[in-house]
Order: sequence, then C-alpha cells, then structure tokens
Amino acid sequence: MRWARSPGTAVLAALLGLFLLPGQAAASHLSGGESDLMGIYGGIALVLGFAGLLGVLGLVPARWRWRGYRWGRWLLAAGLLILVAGGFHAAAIGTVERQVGDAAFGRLATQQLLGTLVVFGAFWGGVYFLARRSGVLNMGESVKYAVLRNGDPPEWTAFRAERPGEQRLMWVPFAAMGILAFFFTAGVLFAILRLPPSARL
Amino acid sequence: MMFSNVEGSASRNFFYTAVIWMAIGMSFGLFAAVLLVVPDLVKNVPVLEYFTFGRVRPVHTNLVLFGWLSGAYFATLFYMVPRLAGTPLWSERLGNFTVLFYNLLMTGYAVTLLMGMNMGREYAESTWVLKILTVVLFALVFLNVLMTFANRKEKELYVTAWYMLGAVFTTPVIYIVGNQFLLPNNPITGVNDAVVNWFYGHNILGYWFTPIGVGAVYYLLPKLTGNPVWSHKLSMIGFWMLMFVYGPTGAHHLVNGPVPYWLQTVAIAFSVCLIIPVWTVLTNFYGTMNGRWGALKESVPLKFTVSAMVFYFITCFQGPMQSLRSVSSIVHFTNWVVGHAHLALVGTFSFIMFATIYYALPRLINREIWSAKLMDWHFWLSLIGFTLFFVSLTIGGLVQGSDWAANQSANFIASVINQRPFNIARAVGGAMILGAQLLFIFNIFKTATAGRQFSADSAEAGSIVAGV
Repeated sequence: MRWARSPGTAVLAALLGLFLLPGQAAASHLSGGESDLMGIYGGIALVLGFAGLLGVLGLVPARWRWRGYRWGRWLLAAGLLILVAGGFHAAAIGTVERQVGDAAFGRLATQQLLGTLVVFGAFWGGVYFLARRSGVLNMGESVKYAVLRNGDPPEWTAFRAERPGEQRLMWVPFAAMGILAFFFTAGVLFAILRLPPSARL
Repeated sequence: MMFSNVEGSASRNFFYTAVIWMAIGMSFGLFAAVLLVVPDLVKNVPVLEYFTFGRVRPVHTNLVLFGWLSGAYFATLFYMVPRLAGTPLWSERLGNFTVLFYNLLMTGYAVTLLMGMNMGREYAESTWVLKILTVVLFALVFLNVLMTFANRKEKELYVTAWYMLGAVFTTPVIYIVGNQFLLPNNPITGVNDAVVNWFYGHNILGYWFTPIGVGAVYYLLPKLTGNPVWSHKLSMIGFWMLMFVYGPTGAHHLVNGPVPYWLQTVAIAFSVCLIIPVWTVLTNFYGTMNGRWGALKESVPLKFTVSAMVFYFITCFQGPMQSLRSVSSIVHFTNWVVGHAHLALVGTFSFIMFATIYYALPRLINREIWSAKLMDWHFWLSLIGFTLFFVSLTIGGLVQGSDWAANQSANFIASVINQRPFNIARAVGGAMILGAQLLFIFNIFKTATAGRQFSADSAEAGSIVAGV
C-alpha cells in the first residue's frame, strides 16, 4: 500500500474529482461562481489543508505524529477536493442567489465578513492550541539565541528587571487591536446594510 | 566621505539621507491634503500654481516609498545583514556609492514628477529611464547584501536573514515585470495593464516593504527585550507562507472591475490566506514580549515597535476584509483605501523604521540619542497624529462609499462636500505627523553633532540576562 501513501496519489485523487464532475459547472465557477458559499468551503478546505500540512511536516503533538505523517496528505487532498467540489456547488447556488438580488445581498455580505472572522479565529486558536500542546515550536531553536550574542549590544531595557503588575501592559495593544477590529467590522456592516435596495449590487 | 570604507558608514549615510527624503515626501503629502481642503490655495501663485494635486500626489508617494522607506530599508539591510552574517559588509565603498546614486535618483524622481512626466500607474509613475536606474540601484544594494551573506561566518540563518534574503530575491522580479519590463513603450495594454500594475503595486508591499519590516522586528524585539524570539520554527512557517500566498493577491484591487472573475476570486482567497503569516508574526511578538512588558514604559523604540504591531494587525485585518466583493463594492476608490495604505506604510513600516533608527544609529555613530524627551514627543505626536489621520480616512471612506452607492451619479458633488470634515481632520493629523518627524530629524541632527558617547557595556551581559 506504499502507493496509497504517496503525495502523488493524493493529488491525483483530488484531480480525479475535478474531471469526474461536470465540465460546465467548472467553467461556470471559473468564469463567475458566487463567493459567499465559497467562503465556507474555502474556510473548511483551508483548515483541512493547513492541518494536513502540519501533519506532513510533523508539527503535531508527538502522540499524533505518526498519524500526521500517514493522514496529513489525505487531509490536504480532502481540502483540495472540498475546494473544487465546493466551487461547483457554489456556482450552481450562486446563479439562484443572483436572481434573488437585493434580499440576498445583506446575507451575502454578512456571511463574507463573519466567514473571515471565523477563519481568522479558527486558525489562530486551533494552531496555537496544537503548537502549545506539542511543544514543537521550541524545536531546532538554537539559531534564535545567536542574535543575542552577535556582538551588537542589546538596548539597556533588555537588562531591566520586570516590576510586579507590568505584565498587564500586554492588554494595551491587545485592546487596541480588538477595539479597532470591532469598529472596522461594525462600520463596514453598517455601511453595507443601510444601503437602499436599489443601490445594492 | 561619501565613498568612505569605514565600517557602518554606508548604513549611517542611508539613514541620514532617508530621513531627509521622508521630510520632503511627507511635506508634499501634507500639501496634497491641504489642497483637498483648499483647492485654490496656490492658484495664481508663481511656480507653485503648477503644483497641482495630480503632480504633488505622485511626488509624495514616490518619495515616501522609494526615498524614505526604501532608503531606510537599505540602511537596515546594511546594518543588520553584517551582524547576522558575522562578517563586515562586503563593500562599504560600493555601499556609499549607492547612497550617492540613490540621492541623485530621488532628485530625478521629484523633478520629473513635478514637471508632469508621469506614466500613469500607481507607484510606477516615474519615467522608464528612472526605472532602469532604480533597478541598477536595487541591484547594487542587493549585490552587496548577497556577497555579505556569501562570505558569512554564521552558519545558521536567523529569521531576519530569511526575510531579507526573500526580499532580495523577489523584489527585482516584481519590479521589472510590474514596470512593463522597463521598456519606453508599454508592451502590455488595456485591462492586462491594470492586472500587471496591481501585480506590481501590491506585491512591492508584500515582497519588499513587508519582509524587510517584519525581518527588522524579529531583529529588534530580542535586542529591546532581552528575550530570544519565542518560536523560530513558527517564524519560518510565517516566512514561507508569506512568500507563498502574497503573489496572487494583487488583483483584489480590481474586484468588481472588468477583469476575469476567476482572477478576482483567486486574489480574494489568497488575500484571506494572508491571515496565516500575520498570525505567526503576532503570536511570536506576544510570545517574545512575555515577561518584558515593563520595558514598554521606558523604551521609545519598543513603543514604536508595539504600535507598529497593532497597526500591522489592523492592516492585515482590513486587507482580507476589503478584498471581499461586498465590502469592496462600498470602499473601493474611497478614502478608506488611502487610510489602509497609510496604515501599512506609516503606521506599520515607518514606525518600525523609527524604532530601527533609534536602535541602530547610536551603535553606528557611537553616540547616544541626544534627547530622550524629544524621542517621546516624536512617538506620541506620531501616534496621535496618525490615529487621527487613519480614523478620519476610514470613516470618511465609509461615508464616501455610502454616498456614491446611494446617490449613484445623481449627486456626486454632495459626496465631495460630505468629505470636507474628514479631509480637514486628515490634514490636521498629517500636520501632526510631519511635525513629529521634524522633531525626529532635529534630534537625529543633534545626536550626530552633540550626542554623548554611546556606552555599550555589554553584549555579553545581555546574553547572560537572557539566559544564553
């Protein structure tokens, strides 16, 4: 079953799906599929693909590592398949949505925005969790110490003793990011949703 | 002096001249902002009447991108690469020649653009002769960088070196292709011209301004905090993801335009994927800062770096969001996009360069920064001015987009009038930013002429504190 584990087989399996599905749908997608549903498919494909990549590269907790090596490429292939097949599905649905017109516009916009947030959160949370659990982020790290002893003297603040409570300063940039991100999202949603129906694309 | 062979002289000279180009470039930017509020400001004023918005704006963008940021980046390369490679710069003399060459070239940029010689493409307005000379400039700098790496004594490449090498290899391709292969007549026309233009216009950010800026942060953070970078492996994932996903994103500038739909979709998908490299940088930033946040109270370079990371997050949060079709249909061509561009180039990369200069210059000229108080003023004026600037542009952009969409073509002039308060706020913010930079340049000047001797008692002490 060596052939079954080869990356080539995985990619071939994914490509086979492309050829087995109707060519017209492919053409439709490539020249004008809708993107809201595609965002969901794309998000799932991206998560699967990235998880697969972590597996192939051995960047998963030790006890999952052999599974990562074995199944990582299949996760990658599944991600690719979902992306392609999702494209066909989205193309078909997209045609209907275009007919619905204005009524679908708000939903479309909300889905796209929230989809971005979901993908963002899923990546940040999921991979950080995996990375922390596995400890792999601290492997092969000797090079990072070299920069501290390369003859270029660190700033005096590098020697400064931390005082109690100063760690709380970390919340300042965190809050700034959160507040700005919230208001940008809210502002965009507000602008989109208050458009009169006749002005919607 | 210009062709000195003294170690560090090329980096120092690039830093000195880059800040001058920054002041000139930002002055033109402020002038353009004021013209939006008072369009007849220089009407019938001799000579100045020719400084129309259409001429002033490209002078601003080109001088800030190539004069200020690229000049500071060359200095950063010449400062950091030898230290990462464990060997002196390959040729200080060549480095100093490039300083002179770069200054002449920027003068050429300013003069020709003010004369109205404009190729009509975003960030690629200069004439073809200047473009060829720009390639020569980059080639001379990159030759020096590559030869320094080739002679390196440090075997392992730190993440900063990866980012800098990545920029060195990709930038020439982006620039030459994007600038129509440097030919006097365009071989690519029509819609394809727009596609190629945005391949260049966006990727020059992704493959030149981003990697050098992020690479500099990875160098600075350990030096400012004493902590080694949290995860080198994660930083490498971020680097390779940036190299992989940035390329096809340019067409998101053409979303809802007359370019193939599939190309727009690909650009949108890859734009969303940019979340991954950004996530790696921010996670590493927080990880490296852990236990060292107190230094933020006392280190201006660190304040600039932390602020830059906030703006980097916001830039890269906005970017994927505004590439979506529904969002783009509202914000495209509006002031929102102008705010977004400034978030990247001022809030993120210029702030990183301020931190780099405050860190590197004392070590290059062996003098402490002349005034800590002026450094603080520089930071707070820049931060407050820039926040006012980009918030006004962002809100103004949403109002502008809503006006356009709601009124269609019926009442365009009303949308212009509605922008007035935002344009005033933008000009005030811009004036604060420029004022901050003038203080900065004065401080640099005094540092060079009257700064106390720099005391670097110890790289070794730093290593001990960091537990190396």
